[in-house]
Amino acid sequence: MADRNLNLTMIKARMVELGLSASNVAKKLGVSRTIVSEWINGKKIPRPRILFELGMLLDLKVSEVLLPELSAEPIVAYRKRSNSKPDLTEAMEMGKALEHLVDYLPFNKLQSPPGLLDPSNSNDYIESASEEIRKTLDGDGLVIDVEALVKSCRELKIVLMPVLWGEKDRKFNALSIYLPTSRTNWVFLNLDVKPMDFKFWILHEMIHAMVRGAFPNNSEEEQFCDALAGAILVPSDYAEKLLDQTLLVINTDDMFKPLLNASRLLIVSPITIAHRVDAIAKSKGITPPFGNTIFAVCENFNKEFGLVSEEYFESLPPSAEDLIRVGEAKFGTYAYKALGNYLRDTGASEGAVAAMLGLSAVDAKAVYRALVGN
Amino acid sequence: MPSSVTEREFYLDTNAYLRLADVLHPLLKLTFGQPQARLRTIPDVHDELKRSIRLQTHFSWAMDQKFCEDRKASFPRISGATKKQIVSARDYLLDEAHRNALPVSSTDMFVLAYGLVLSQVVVSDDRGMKTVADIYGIKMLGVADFLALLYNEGGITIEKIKDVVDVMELRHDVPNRDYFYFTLGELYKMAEMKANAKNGLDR
Repeated sequence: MADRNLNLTMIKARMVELGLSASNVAKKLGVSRTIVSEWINGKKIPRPRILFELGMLLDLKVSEVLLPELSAEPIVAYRKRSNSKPDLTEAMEMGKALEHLVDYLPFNKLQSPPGLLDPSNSNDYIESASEEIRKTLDGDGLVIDVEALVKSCRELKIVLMPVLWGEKDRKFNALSIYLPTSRTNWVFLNLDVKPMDFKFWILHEMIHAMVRGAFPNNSEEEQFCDALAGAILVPSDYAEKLLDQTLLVINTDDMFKPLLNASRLLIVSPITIAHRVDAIAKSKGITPPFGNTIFAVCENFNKEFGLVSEEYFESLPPSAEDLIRVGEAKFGTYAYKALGNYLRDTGASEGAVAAMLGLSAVDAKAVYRALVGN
Repeated sequence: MPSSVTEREFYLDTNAYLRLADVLHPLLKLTFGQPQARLRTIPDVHDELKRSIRLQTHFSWAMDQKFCEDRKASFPRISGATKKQIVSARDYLLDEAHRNALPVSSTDMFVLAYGLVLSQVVVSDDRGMKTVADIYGIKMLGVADFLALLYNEGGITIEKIKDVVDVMELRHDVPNRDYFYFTLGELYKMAEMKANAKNGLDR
C-alpha cells in the first residue's frame, strides 16, 4: 500500500480562505501544532481518521485533500437503458475491485491480444474489416451466433460476465470496464434484455478491445465500434438486397416487412439493419427508406420476444449455481473460478462479491455461497 | 417517519439485517439497555434490498411490506449538512479500502460512514468493513458479538438467540469468522448452557 501525498496547495488555500492558522487547525483536531506544520511542509501525512477530520474541517473531499494516485483509473463504457441517467460511480468502484481478480485469470501475461491495424472510420476500412472479422467468426454463414462471439472474446482476453440486472431496475444493458493497469477488459452483459441487441453489444465491446487507444478521441472510437459491429452483423450485400426488396414494396404499410423478417432471421435489431440499409441507399444517391420511423416500429416489434435470460434458464430467477454454470458453459466466463479462488485465498466476505460484480447484498450472498460454501 | 438520532445507536449493514430481521421482527423497533439504545438501517441498505433479488435466495421476505415499513421507520433523521458529511465520509472510507486492497461495496461504506460521522456502532460480519472500521476507529460488532451484548442488556432472551442461530444454520448463512470476539459457536454454546440451566438440566 503506497503512501499518498497531501494536496498542499488546496489545503493551504482553504486554510487561508477560512482564516485558519496551523495553531487553529491543531486545536480543532486535537493534535500538536508541530504535527500540523509537518503536514503543511509535506513531511508527514495525517493518519486516516485525522485526515478525514481535516477534510471535514476544511470542507474538502478526499479527492481534494489528497493528490490523485499515479495508477490509472478504470475506463468505463456502457449501453444504457433508454431515458436513464447512469451513475458511473458504482461502475468505477467495480473496476477498482476487479483489479484484485486479475492475478487469478488464466491469461498469458506475456502475450497481447490481437488488434486492428490503423483503424479508421472510412467506409472502405469498415467494410474490409467487417469481411475479415466475419471470416474468423463464422466462415461463410450469414447468421453470426453468440457462441462464435464468445470464442472471439476469449481470444481477445475479454472477460464476459452474464448478469441478471433486471429488465427495468438497472440503468445498464451492458457495461464494459477496461483496467489500464492490467490491460484487461471486463464486459458485463445483462441477460434481462430483449435478444435483438445482444450480439451487437458483445461485438461492440469486442471491437473496443481491438482498437483501444487507436483513435484520437472517445467519440470517434465509439462511432467506429458501432459502424463495424453493424457491418459485421449485416453484410453489405445482404443490406443491398434488403434495400432492393424494400424499394419494391408499393403499399407503405408493408414497407417494414422485409426489414422485420431480416431482423428475425439475423437476430439483430431492426434499427441496426435499417441503419445499414439507409447508409447504402445514401451512398447510391437514393433517399434512405427508414430514417427515424424505425424507432416506433422497433418498440412494437420487440414485444414479440422474451428476454435473453429466459433462453438460458429453465426458471427465473435462477439459482446462483445456475448463473455460474451458464456463465462458464455458454459465455466461457473464467471470472467465477477466479473469484472463488480469490475468496478462498483472502478470506474476503460477501461484500467483496457485491463490490466486484455490482450485485445487491442478497444476490452477492447467494454467489458467495455457491463459490465457497459457508 | 424517520426518527432523529438518539444517544446510543447500532447501524446494521445489509447482511446483519438479513441475519436478524425476520426472527426478531420488528427488529428495528427494539430498544434496550441504559442509556436506551436502538437499531437502525439506512436508506442505502433499503435501496440495496429493493434492487431486485435476481437469484433464488432465502431472503425474499425482506421485501414484504412489514419489513419495508420497519426499515423505513428506522432511518435516522439527519440534516442536509450531516448527509453531505456522510457522503464525503463514504468517499474517504472507499479510498482507504482501495489503499488496503479491499474490495468493498459502496453501500457497506455508507453504513460505516454513518457510524463515523454520527459516532455510533456498526453491526456487520464483513471482513473488509472490519478492517476499514479498525483503521478509522469506528466501533463495529459482529452479529454474534451484538447478540451477546443484546442479551447482556436485556434486549433479547436466550431462546430467541437460539432461534436466530438455528435459522442462520438452516439457511447456511452463519458468520463463521475468527476476527470477532465471539464466534457464533461460542454464543450458541452459551445459549444452550443457559437454556439447559433454566430447564434444570445443567445442575
